[in-house]
Order: sequence, then C-alpha cells, then structure tokens
Amino acid sequence: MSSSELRHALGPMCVDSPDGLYACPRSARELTEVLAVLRAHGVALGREVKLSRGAFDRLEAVEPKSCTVLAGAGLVLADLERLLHPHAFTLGTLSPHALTLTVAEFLEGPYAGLKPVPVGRLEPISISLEAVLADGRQLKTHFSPRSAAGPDLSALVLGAHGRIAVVLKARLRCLPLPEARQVVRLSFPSVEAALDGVRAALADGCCPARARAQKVQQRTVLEVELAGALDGVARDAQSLQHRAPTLGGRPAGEALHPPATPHEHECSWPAVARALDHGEVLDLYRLSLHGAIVAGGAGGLGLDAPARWAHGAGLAATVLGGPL
Amino acid sequence: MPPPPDLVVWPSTEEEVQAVIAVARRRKLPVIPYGAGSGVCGGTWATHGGVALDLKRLDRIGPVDATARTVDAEAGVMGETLERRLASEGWQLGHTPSSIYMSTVGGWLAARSAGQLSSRWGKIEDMVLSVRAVLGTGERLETPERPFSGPDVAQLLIGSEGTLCAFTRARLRVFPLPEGRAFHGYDFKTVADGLEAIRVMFRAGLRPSVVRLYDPFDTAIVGDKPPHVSTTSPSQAPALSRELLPALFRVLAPQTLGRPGLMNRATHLLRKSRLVLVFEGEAARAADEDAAARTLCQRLGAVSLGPQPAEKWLASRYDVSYRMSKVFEGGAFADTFEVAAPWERVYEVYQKVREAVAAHAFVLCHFSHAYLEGCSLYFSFVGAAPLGQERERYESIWRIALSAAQSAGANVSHHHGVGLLKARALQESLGEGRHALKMLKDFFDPDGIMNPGKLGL
Ligand SMILES: Cc1cc2nc3c(=O)[nH]c(=O)nc-3n(C[C@H](O)[C@H](O)[C@H](O)COP(=O)(O)OP(=O)(O)OC[C@H]3O[C@@H](n4cnc5c(N)ncnc54)[C@H](O)[C@@H]3O)c2cc1C
Repeated sequence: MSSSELRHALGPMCVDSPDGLYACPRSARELTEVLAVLRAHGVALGREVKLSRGAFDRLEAVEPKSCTVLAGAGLVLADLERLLHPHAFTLGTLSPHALTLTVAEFLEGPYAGLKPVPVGRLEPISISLEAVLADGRQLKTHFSPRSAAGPDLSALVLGAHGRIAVVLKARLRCLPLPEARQVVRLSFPSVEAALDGVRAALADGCCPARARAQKVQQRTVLEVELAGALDGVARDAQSLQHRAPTLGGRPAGEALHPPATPHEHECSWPAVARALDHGEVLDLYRLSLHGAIVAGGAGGLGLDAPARWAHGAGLAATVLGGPL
Repeated sequence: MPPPPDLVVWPSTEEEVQAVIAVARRRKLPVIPYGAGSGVCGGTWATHGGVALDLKRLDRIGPVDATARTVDAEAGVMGETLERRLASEGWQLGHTPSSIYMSTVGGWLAARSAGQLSSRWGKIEDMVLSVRAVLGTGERLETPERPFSGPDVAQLLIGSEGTLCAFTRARLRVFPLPEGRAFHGYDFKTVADGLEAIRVMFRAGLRPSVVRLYDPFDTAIVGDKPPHVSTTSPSQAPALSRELLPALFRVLAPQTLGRPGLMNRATHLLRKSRLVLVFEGEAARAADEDAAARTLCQRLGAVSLGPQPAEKWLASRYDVSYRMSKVFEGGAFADTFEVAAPWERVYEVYQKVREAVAAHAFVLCHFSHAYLEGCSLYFSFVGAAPLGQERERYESIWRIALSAAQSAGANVSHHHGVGLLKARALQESLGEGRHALKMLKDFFDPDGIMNPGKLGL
C-alpha cells in the first residue's frame, strides 16, 4: 500500500515528517482507530507508520499522599522531573540516558520501567497503566500498591517494545525530593570485596542514588552517593561504613573521574566485576541485588537501542522442551 | 463440600508433570494444580472434575548461592520446611504467611501471596528471580533472570492460579537471618492517626518488616494479655478453648451476632487503634529505624507501649488463623477478605466497607502490608442468620463488602487471590482489559484445560 493511501486512510491523525509517516492519536479511542486502519491495510505500527505520543505530554494529576503522579506517555523524563519539583517530588535518580527517554520509551524499552526500592529489590516505576492492546482494546490496570488479582497485566507493556500493547498514560511512583545528599568514599582490597560490600548494604536497606567504581592500583575504590531524608541518608551511610571493615574496606580520599564512554548497559554483578577487573571506571545506577545500570565500558544488555527479545521467542522465556 | 476431582496424581519430577498435562491435553481433561490446599478462594475446587495435580512431591530445595543470595526451591516445598532449612544455614526468605505450615512455594506463586514481613522483604512476586513451569500447551519453560530483553513472562504467570501453567520450581532471593529485631507497640487516638503514621513512616524511608494497625474493635480483641509462646497445634489446645468457648459462643451468638448493627454501633465507643511494628535486619539499623519511628508516632500523638505488644504478636502470630473454627462451632459464620488501596483511598475503603456490612455482620479490620503508595486492608466479619439462611446471608455480605471496597477505590485482592470467589469481581474490574487476560489464556493454555473457571477463565 502506498504512503499516500495510508495518509488518506488515517486522515488528520497522520503527520508527515522528514523521517516518515507518523500516526498522532490524541486519545485511546483514536489510537484504536489508527490500529484498525493499519490492520485493515495489513500495515504494522512502527514500520510504514510510526507512532507519536506527542499529544500525551501532560502531567495530569499529582497524588500527594501516595507520592504518585499521572503522566502522559509522551513526556520526556527529564521534563517530567522538572515538573515534579514544585510538588516536592522526584522520580529518583535516573541514569543520564534514561532521562532523555519519554515515559513510553522508558516503560516499553529495555529499561522495562524498573526502579530500585529498599532491600535491593526492583519494582516498576508505574503503579498503573493505560494502554491499548494490539487488537485495539484498552488495558487499564488498577491503581493499587500491590495486587493478587490475577497475573500482572502491566508486564504486557513493560519491556515489551510496544509489541503487545502501547502505553498512553502511566501513574508513576515518585519519591519526596531529597533533603540531603552525601558521598561515601571507600576503598576495598578487591573488586569482589567492594561489590560484596555494596550487596550487603543493599540487603540492609541502603538505597543509593548512584555509585562510581574503579580499580586504583591494588584497591577498588567505591564512591556511593546517597540522597533522601536527612536521617535516612545518615542511616544509609552507616550501613555502608558498618559493612566495609569486615571486607577490608576503609575510607578513601580522592574522587574518581567519570567514565570515558556514556553507553549504558544493564549488567549483572559478575559483569560489573569483570569490567572493573579490566580497569574500567563505571557509573552505577538503579543498584539492586540483581545488578545495576552501568554507564562505562561494561558488557550486558544494551540500553541505547531496543534489543531483540531474549532467545528470539514469542515471549522472553526459554522453552526447555516441546509438548510430549 | 468442594466438588472432588476424578483423579489425584502425585508427580515427583517436572517431566512427570509434563506427562500428566500431555495426557490431560489429549483427553481434554481439566488439570487442577494443587499445593497444600490452603487457598481461601476456591482455587482448587474441581468444578469441572478432572485431575488434581498435587505437586507436594516436588519438594527439593537446592543449596543457597551465598554470592548471588538465591535459592532454588521446587513448587511443592512447604513454607515452614523452606524457612527452617534456610534458617539452619543462616538465611531467610522472609516470606511467612499465616498459613506457612500449610502452603507451598507453588501455591504462593500461583496466588501472589504476602507474608507477614512483606513490608520489608516484599511479596512473593518481589522475591522471585525466575520460575520454571509446565504450560497448558505442554511445554516446559524457564523464565530468564535479569538482565533480559522483552516482557517479564514470570510476572505474567505469577498470580495465574493454575489457569495457565503448573509451577515446578522457582529461584528466590534470600537474605541473611536478621542480626537484630526491634519491637514496638503504640496506641493512637484514632485509626486515621495510625494510618497517617504508617504513611509518613514509609515516606521517611523507614521499612519495618511488620506493620499492623488494628481498628478499635480489633484493638480491643488484641488486648493486653501477656505474651505466650505457642507450641501446641490447635488439636492439642486446652479443653477450655476447645469445648467451653464454642459452647459459650453457641449461646451468645444468636443474641449478639443477630444484631450486628447494634454491635457495630457499640464500637463507636471504642476509638483507640493499636499499631504493632517490628524492625529487623542489621542490629544497629533496626534499632535506629525503631527510634525514628518512635519520634514520628509520638509526634502524631501516639502513646508508646514499649516492645511488649509486638513481641506478643510475634509469639502468637500463627495462632490467630485457627480461631475461626470456634465461631463455626458456635453456629455462626465468619470470614475474612483483603484488598489494597492507595493512601488517598485507604480510610474511605475502611469506612465504606464498615458502613455497607454493618447491618448484616459484625466487622473489624486491620491494616498491614504497607508501601510508600498505600497498604492492604484485611477485614474480618462475623455474623449469624436464622437457620437455613446462613449461606444466603454469608454470600450477600461478601458481595456487598467487595463492591463497597471496590467502589471506594480498592482492588480485588492484595494477597489471597481470586479463585472462584472473586472471579466475577476480577472480570468486572478489568473492563476491556479482561481480553488481555483471555489472550494470555489462549497463548499459554489454548485447550483451556488448566484449572477451568478460576479467575473467570
Ligand atoms: C489460616 C490461613 C491463613 C492464611 N494466611 C495467608 C497469609 O498470611 N498470606 C497469604 O498470602 N495467604 C494466606 N492464606 C491463603 C493461602 O495460604 C495462600 O493463598 C497460599 O499461597 C496458597 O498456597 P497452597 O500451596 O496452599 O495453594 P493451594 O491452596 O493448593 O492452591 C491455591 C491456588 O494456586 C494454584 N496452585 C497451587 N500450586 C500450584 C502450582 N505449583 N502451580 C500452579 N498453580 C498452583 C491452585 O490451583 C489454586 O488455584 C491463608 C490461608 C489460611 C487457610
């Protein structure tokens, strides 16, 4: 089908731009219409026609008690962060590349919309979503902190590259703006000891904003930035300092230089250890017991561009054996 | 009585689970995955007959990987066995549902269970790194661990209550046994003050493992009795509570529970709301968080009761679940239901459910499983009805209560799941989203053999 036919079929919901044709729905209903037109013409969204969520660019509601906000999926996270400050909220510390993404890209892309929470866990930054399924039906998940009402349907959106559902709005979990920041700088006799120290502190409840690490001569230096409530920061600093001596850690002096490459990867802890052993300086974000988002020369899941789904399968899982 | 299955099978390996599902597929037989049967929503009822797939022989626990802080446990491992085994090596999962003696890892995953310590360690879905399962298609599947690209299939299977797959194994996050614990109880002037204290506590970054706020009547029941350590099973309970209490209850129930409106109004005389907190983990940090919580609670007008109420709670935390049988023996009915809501809605959900149920049953509530964004509300209701009308009254209370909770902003369930009991409510609450659930069903179980009817599928 020619692009002029498509343009005609999509009518005012379609915009021409130098990098191709865009569908620009302004509501879930319009997106449903776009999908119906594309289906009828055998065209996949994202190929001949890309999707613009530019119309969903507003901070729609702020819920001060639950520390949540309803945001359009087209909002760029750095802009959203600025909009949150007058409400004394923050999204927490996001990696530099994540900040350049829209809410939709952050949720649907390889970051999978995850953020760290105390005790070294990860949870989706979205507490609820409004999305449209590939067949045009709407998916609205419930605004509640946790649920046992069936499978978590937001997993059809998070990390799924928009292939099952397309998000239009999301209610996001925020944090109060930090009252205090502190950098704790420690050096350890080995990479393993340094990373053990980080994992132990995470398990204790310490939830760092970010960290920088590098092997300097025979020791591994770790610079951990803490942010939050005044006494919370003091507690987190204590957790780090408490764990350090048992692992041969001691206070370190000089600040580390930033990493040479800004490319971001999601890395497991063994991958972080390998990169540090190679002498890389790494910036670590979204630290959890699973691993971290790493800026610098580390190997892991590339976050700059959408990667193929794991194992190329229909869903990101390993099928161990076919039906008997 | 729940409808029985036609057949019960006890596979011991994942391959055997796969073989059972393969036969069931060929013969179009329903398969009902079965853990320990403690689910309270009818999830294991064989409403269409078929095969009860009892997974308790999948009971192997792997070694703890101390560096990665993980353990592999098969689906049929009983909760208590797992925590004891981990504790013997200095670790804990931190998942201690009240049903720990009678629930399995697979059942936890299937119903998105929450343990009593969830405010710190998370619900079961927060503890899972990956799962292994046999799908309704007959395929075996292992979900990847982070980092991976694509949707998190584990989160699509967890909570599916046997309707998509049978879980066979999970890799779970473990933590070192807590070095220290700090206990504290507080009395607040009102429920609303207590809720505000929890909210502010989480906003300040504090993460107690146990947070339980009892409403005034529940507070009166929790009482000030000294702590005791329970070592006896309910069947060995003293004759006093086994025989005398039910007898007393049988006499009193028709008079008191027959007039729930009166009793509910009487609770307006009670105002005090008790909060129980336990902090645990690295000892100095637990003590420090406890001190910070104390300052905060006292700022909100709470009276500190010292460690005793929380110690008492810990000592008897598994007893409570058995008390309900006394009510039944007394000729009345009782049940519990739980939901969750964001902080903006929690108090309203509490009030609306109380108002809705007040005329029909006596109702009490406690708030637990707290988050930065909200918490869970756990209602208990006790009622009586003229002979022959008990079931009708009981079912109408359920409908009224759940509908009041949902219209005030609560979800369908925080941790008991859906099963048959809440299936309709789930389907209604999903709106068009129910097609997404159906899509999963068609993808993972195209023949519709897995636990038919549950979740409304
Ligand atoms: C006294 C009492 C106290 C309770 N306290 C709590 C509590 O504190 N927290 C809490 O979360 N729950 C609690 N529950 C509810 C119940 O214990 C949980 O729902 C638990 O997760 C069920 O586990 P189970 O092994 O008994 O599962 P079952 O009851 O056997 O099954 C429950 C559901 O899961 C499915 N299922 C079971 N195993 C598998 C498997 N391997 N693969 C796929 N599907 C499977 C079944 O088909 C069914 O739909 C309590 C129940 C009782 C009776």
